[in-house]
Amino acid sequence: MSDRSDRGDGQPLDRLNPMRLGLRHQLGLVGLVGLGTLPLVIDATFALTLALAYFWGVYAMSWDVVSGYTGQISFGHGVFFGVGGYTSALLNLGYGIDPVFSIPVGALLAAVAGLIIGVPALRLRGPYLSLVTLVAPLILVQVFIFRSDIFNGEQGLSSVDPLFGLSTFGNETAFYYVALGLFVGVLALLLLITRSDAGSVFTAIREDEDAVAAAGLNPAKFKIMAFVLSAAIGGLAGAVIVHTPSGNASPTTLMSVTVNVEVIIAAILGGMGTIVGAGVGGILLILLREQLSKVAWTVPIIDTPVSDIDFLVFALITLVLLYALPGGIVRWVIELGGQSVAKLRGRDDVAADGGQTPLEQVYDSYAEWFSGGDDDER
Amino acid sequence: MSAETASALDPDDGLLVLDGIVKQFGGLTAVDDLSIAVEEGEILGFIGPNGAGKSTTFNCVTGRYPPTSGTVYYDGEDVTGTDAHRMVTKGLARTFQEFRPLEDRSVRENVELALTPDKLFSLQGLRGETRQRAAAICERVGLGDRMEMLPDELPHAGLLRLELGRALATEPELLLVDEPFAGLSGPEVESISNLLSDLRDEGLTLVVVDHNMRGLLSLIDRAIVIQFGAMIAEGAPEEIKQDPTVQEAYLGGDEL
Amino acid sequence: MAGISQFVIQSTIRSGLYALVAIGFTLIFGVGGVLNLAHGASIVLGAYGVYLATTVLGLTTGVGFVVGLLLPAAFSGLLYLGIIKRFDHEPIMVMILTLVTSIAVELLVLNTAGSQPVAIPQFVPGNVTLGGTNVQYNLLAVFVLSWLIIVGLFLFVNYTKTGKAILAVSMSDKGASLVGIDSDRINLITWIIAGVLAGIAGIALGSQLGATFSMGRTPLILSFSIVVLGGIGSIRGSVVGAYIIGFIEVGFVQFISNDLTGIAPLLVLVGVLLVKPEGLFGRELAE
Repeated sequence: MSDRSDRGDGQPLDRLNPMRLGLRHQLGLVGLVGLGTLPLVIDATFALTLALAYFWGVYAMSWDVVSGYTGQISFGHGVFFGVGGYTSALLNLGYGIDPVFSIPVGALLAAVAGLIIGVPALRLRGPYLSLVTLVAPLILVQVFIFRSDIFNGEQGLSSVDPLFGLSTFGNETAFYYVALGLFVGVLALLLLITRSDAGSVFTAIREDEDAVAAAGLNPAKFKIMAFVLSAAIGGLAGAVIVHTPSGNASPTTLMSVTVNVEVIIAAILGGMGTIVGAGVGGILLILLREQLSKVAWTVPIIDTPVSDIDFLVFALITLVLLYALPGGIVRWVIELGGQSVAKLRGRDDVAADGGQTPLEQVYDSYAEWFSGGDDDER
Repeated sequence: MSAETASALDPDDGLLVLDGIVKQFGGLTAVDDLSIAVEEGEILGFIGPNGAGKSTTFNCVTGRYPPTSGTVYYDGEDVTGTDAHRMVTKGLARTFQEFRPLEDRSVRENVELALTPDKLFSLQGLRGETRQRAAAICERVGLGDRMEMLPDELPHAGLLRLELGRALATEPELLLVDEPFAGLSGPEVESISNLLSDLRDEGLTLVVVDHNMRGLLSLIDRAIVIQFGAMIAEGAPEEIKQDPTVQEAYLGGDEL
Repeated sequence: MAGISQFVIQSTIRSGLYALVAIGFTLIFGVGGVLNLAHGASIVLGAYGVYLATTVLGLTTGVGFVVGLLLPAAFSGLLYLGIIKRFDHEPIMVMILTLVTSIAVELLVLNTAGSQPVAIPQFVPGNVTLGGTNVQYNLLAVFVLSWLIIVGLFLFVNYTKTGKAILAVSMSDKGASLVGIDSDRINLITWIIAGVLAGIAGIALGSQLGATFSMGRTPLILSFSIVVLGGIGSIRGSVVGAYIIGFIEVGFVQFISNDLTGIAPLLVLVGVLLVKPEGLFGRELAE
């Protein structure tokens, strides 16, 4: 028995008091405030890059809640971005509906798409479900091309109204805040859900569905919930992005194979199954791509500038990460932080916790922290 | 065959009633017209050599898959083919013979999962109550000093205790325990036996599945022996042990 | 009746091509238990291997075909050694990694050879009229080749020592290692063979329609559909699956609408997964 158990009786709302949060959460809050004040010091172009990065953070978080948590790996999350984005764009273009109203409809239809894809998840396990998710966006793209009269095929839909009547040139800061607001809102919502009981059921499903059923919980219900939630958030991001300079309703930007895979890469990069990690991963992916586009170096032999093959770089990074840091960057940073804090306080090695490897331990403490157990860093 | 295949059992003959259960896989009949009644408050031994169809029967009852034909009654209600998780909510819990803890969380958190309500939006876990209840259950099954360990740090007997704890957390009326004594030492068998009979004294009905009578003689009130998916004997443990059909079933194979 | 005979001939020939496309994919799943999403990339490398040797380096067509087989074989073998082997028992990880790899290969090809289709030499040039239908010799050659490979593979698996070892590993990794079979080696051989088969498929596809960087995508989807339909991992099932899909697709295009090319396999895939996930013949997919 440790001192943990007597910490557990606080009220849920009490835990949201910033002064009572753990160090890393306080740092996280400071970071968010920092992002909020960033437009004061950056130029318009970089503001737009960051806006795109936040959208990708949301994409990756939406993927993480279903794939990272329940283990139902989606290879076609673009289908949800696509349904959200196209719905909102079509409503806006065809019926002149203001984005403020068309965006929620987009998210709603994406949730329906999540339901349609989530239902096979009840019968199919592992790779077979992934096959369904892999082909879903392909079918959708085929439909878009088949009915080019409505969806304008590969070109996609353009001249959609921007959100809140903002102007593409001059209102960069406003778009920055739209994207940041979406990011923070989704982050908070998903943290709340995954740290509630549902989150622990999700990860239990990833571990062993039969054991979940034997605990009297209906795995099907929770899987569907994860799919619908994830789809709705992905659809929301897709719907918002088409009304900003960061994206438009076209197969390439919303639902290409590359998009589908980069979302997965982003989540692996930051750390699957943590929400925060996926969000950070999405942001990092875009910033990294931005950096690569500035590199003038040309790869010899194939005579191609690095910026053209940024995906190859991502692929390599993914491989290296999977070997070196399978938990992702965020878990690793937290571990480093935890160790240095422990050192500062003159405590010994942290691994007194029953012989786990550091990675497992970090994961463990991380999960516990957010599930509302511990109070302080160890 | 001396066995009485008491056909057409009444739904109210016991807490759990299996009436003419048949389970076929392709051409293979794993369970052949099996009828059993589990009476409330008893500890029933469900015994048979390896491959006799014990686990298959078990799985038909706990909702892993439906029987090919036959009816399962629980508490007088027809529950044939009900999903695994609904059976648990109705009050029938099980343990896994091969032990299936969630490796990613501590012993206590494993138990907490079974205490979590089957609701999509629940913050129960954020209040301390679940944690305390889980801790109490860990104490109950003898894991009080190990509840912060990960399952893979537990010895064999510890994993069995965890299985029991998780099942108890669902507040069952009837507990199906699958091969609890395999791989346990003598003192461990005794300790688990004591735990099980204490649970019965608190009002729990138990079915203990095993491939032999080791550890069961003093524990169970009644035994049912099956072979090739059909019942070959039923009665008090001592009688069963002397039963010629049963002895024959175990000849040259497992020790009874 | 010309419509019917044309339908049958076209479907039969196309199905032969489809069987060729799917068989390497099936083999890897059957033996290693993983879905190789880089199968499409091997197909691309087969076609571009020929292009590289013949058009870029100016070698003869024969040498070109050899390069077209060696390149994907080497790619597939290295993929297994470098990545798959470490994640052997994590099918989802393998899917993610092979998908990432295959997109990386596509982009590499796109950036080196461009987005325009490039021509691949035909096996046999010319046309012939069969039952009132005009058929390219090249397609006939592909059809014959496909059957030679199917029969050859069957004989290889059932009658050679390595083949039998492959069969053993496909049934049980552990069992095979108990009788002294090195399952890593067998897996490597399987991946290399699958690479060669994908190369042949790539050359066949490229010689008909030209090669593009994304030419592997449709065959990959096709492979899923065929393999899921036929029961994952069964070579015989895949051949049957290929013929069913070939007939459905040609039927769709000929009798309903030209725009439906490519959608038939997707619909079949989703339908089978939803209705009968264990496939028509094969092992269980769903629990």
